[in-house]
Amino acid sequence: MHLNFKTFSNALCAPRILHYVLPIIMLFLLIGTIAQKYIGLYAATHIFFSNWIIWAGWLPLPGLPVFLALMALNLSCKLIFKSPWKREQAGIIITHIAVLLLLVGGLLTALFSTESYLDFAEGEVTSQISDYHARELTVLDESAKPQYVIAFNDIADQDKIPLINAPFTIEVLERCGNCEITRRSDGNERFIGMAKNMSLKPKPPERENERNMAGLTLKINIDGEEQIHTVLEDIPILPKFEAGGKRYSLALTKLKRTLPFKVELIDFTREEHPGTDMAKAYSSHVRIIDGVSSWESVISMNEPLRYKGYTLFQSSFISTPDGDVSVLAVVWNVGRAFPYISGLVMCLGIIVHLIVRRKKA
Amino acid sequence: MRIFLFLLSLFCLLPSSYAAGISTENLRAIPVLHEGRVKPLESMARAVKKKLRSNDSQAMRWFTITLFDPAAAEQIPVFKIRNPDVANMLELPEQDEKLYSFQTLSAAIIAKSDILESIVVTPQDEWTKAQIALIDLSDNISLYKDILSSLTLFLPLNIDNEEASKAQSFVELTSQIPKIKTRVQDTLNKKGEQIDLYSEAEQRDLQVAFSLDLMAKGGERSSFLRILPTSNAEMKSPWAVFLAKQDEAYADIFEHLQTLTYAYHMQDFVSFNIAARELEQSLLQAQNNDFKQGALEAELFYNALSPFKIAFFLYAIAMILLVSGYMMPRLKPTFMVFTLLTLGACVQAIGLSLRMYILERPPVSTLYESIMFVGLIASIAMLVAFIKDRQLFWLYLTAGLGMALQLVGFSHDTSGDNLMMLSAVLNTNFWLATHVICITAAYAFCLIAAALAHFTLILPFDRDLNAKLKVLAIISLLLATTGTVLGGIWADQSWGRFWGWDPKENGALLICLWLIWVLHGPLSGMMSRRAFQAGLAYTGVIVALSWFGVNLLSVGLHSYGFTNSAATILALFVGGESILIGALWVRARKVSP
Repeated sequence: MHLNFKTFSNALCAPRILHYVLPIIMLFLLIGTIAQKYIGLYAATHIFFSNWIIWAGWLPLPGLPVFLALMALNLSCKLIFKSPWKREQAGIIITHIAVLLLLVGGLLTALFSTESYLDFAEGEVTSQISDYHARELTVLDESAKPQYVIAFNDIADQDKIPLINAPFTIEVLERCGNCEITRRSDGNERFIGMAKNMSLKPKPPERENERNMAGLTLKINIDGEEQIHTVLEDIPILPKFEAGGKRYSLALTKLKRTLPFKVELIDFTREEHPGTDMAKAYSSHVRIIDGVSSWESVISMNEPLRYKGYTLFQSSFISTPDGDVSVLAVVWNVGRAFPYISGLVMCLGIIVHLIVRRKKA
Repeated sequence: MRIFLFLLSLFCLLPSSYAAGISTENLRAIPVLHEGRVKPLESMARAVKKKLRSNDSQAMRWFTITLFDPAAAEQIPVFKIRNPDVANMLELPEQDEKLYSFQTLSAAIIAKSDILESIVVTPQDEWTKAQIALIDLSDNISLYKDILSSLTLFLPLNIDNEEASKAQSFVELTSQIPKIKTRVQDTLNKKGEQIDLYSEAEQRDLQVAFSLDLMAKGGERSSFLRILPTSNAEMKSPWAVFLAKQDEAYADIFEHLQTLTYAYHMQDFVSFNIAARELEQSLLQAQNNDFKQGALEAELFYNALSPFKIAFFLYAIAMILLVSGYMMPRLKPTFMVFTLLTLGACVQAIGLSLRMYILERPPVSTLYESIMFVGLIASIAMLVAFIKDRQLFWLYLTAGLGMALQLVGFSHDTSGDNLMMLSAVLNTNFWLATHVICITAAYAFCLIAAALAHFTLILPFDRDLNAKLKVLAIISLLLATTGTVLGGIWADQSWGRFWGWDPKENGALLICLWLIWVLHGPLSGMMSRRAFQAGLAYTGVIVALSWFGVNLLSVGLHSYGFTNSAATILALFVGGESILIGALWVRARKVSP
């Protein structure tokens, strides 16, 4: 048993694991990077860098996280069982610890971080932020309060959406992550509003995920009476129906989150290089309102605002006929400190190693 | 376009051509707002000439003709059409050096406007290379048309006007326009629209009124030559000021411009040179407080010096001397070579320092700048190494790498101004001075390591250079890792995430991983000494992929330095290096495993 453990730990500590794993990781990097040209950053990241399993047709293959985990395991075993804890090895040990820290930080970020955005015009106050990619179907009541929220990814074609204590049922007739709208020829009195003339067909996703327009055609059963509605992402006209004496509406939007504070846009300014339309700088003058206290701050490129674990960045802006709308990226990341610490430790480790090496020489 | 060509004919019959005695010395120093910054007119002329795909030699001479004699300028072959499909699409005749004039091209584009219309209606990502080139050419034609109109306000017109004893410019005719228009209106009222019934004088009036009207319309689009300062950072073109009826505020400058154009057309180069000096002085005095004359003068010096070309020649001469010394050992050129290489590095440093002074930012913000910076760091590092251990191969490597990087730099300086303004996210001196400097320094050390590894594989040395290679690899890894982590921190500060799998980020990570792999190879017993050297030699390819390769993808947030033309060269480099290093490795293993 002891021998088996020793053999096993020796195998896990073996530097040859790194020798074989690193080229595989580099291959993933290369393929995933090239793939971005054809399928976009979001899809390429999802397939080649985030997924633990990659499906090559019917064949499951280990994804990049598997190899990163293997590398982390190899490094940990090496540190615990094989590293000679001597002064001459200090640089190498420090560097290896830093790499482990970086991998742990990466794991925490991958598991727990959220990236959202907030777009608002001058004078607007909000605490609602939207996810960049995830979408949700919301059933709103008369006062526009969400009654049921269903993640778009949990909705399948021809599926019944489970709703607790609802005076109606919802069945999915058409679902697409990126919809092509065609003219409906089989419309009858059951089809209401947009659904009368519109049929949704899935089309290949756009290279930039933000440009995809999701949509659903839903059959709503109210006491045996059927209504068919079409709901499209971010279309301001919401399909409405009545059930159990109440009016409801359906909205398909980016997944909403609520900040534990409010943000008011006081002023948005942008500066361009003279004689061009190339942005030189832009910034948002905001007021943070948290309960009874409030204060002002300026968020500009490379100068974010951090509060209560959230970081607000000046991401971009949208020009509208009514003026500019500022777009802030809002990030929650528990692993944020890891790259800073590990980067510092890593550099320190390599410098120590160079100094030790020089002394030895 | 047809109207524009007609307007140009108004300037045709007047005596003009570029007079040899006319000096552009004062003209070149005129401050002009172009692509977001104030620069000397000479820099703009060079940038425009390069944009038209021609080279920038004699740019000021050509630009002077363009401004003061548009009718002659339209016949100068200055548009280079490299893509033969574009020439075929436009049915252009074959020309020397593939250079065509504005006149030829504008006529061809009018004739083939249906091709352009069919391209414009198709999605942009479906355009072929030839279609992109044709649209680019069409844009350049429009740009040049704008430039040709820049000083038409002041050019003597080929208009037979009874109230003028000599040729007059649009500006001078302005006061007479209402009178002429009244006369034309009277004639119209009396004789209707039948021009045959008009007397000779009436027909002349009609032609003058029509021509001036067209010129004013053309002037509305003429905004290129922004030489007139305003109270803020903006600058305006003479036409913009004239049409906004603000010309009184610039009366002396308008007067100088008028004198200048007349002097040019009379070939009175003494008056021209005096007027140019006075114009320059007036414009300098009119600048607002933000204007930095020192930067303008530095740019003129930079243009005159062409530091990177000088550095290239110094490196080339050093290489010739080294090869001569190798073939004739009694020559002993070491000291001379070292001096030349040091001079080359100094000139490069001066060039980069001037760029820093002009742009007020670290010299590593564009692909072109990064190449020049890597060249400088590599040269300095190798010269220091030579001082330390007096090994001749450092001089070979300095000259070789110095020349190669200068050539790569020149190939990236073929279009427009290489002193560019930066977009908002890159406009931060702190991160440019830390992250980008670190990464580019890592490129430099990687290239030195790769070059030395090549050298080790080519020549079976008695001494083992592995120790030097390891130190170089560790320094490269230190810089690449620090640079990558700093880049991540910058991304965290700017975009809210440390890592986003952006191509540029992946490229930097690729270098780190490759160096880790190569360094760990011998330690794990998985790589022989020669395999380690071959792996390190291949670092050059990894750097090229990371540095230039990711730009070919045209995706990601690092929206700078994108290029479409380098794919073939990069593929040849990768293929060639793979074969070369493979062959050298096999050979080296046989000679000395």
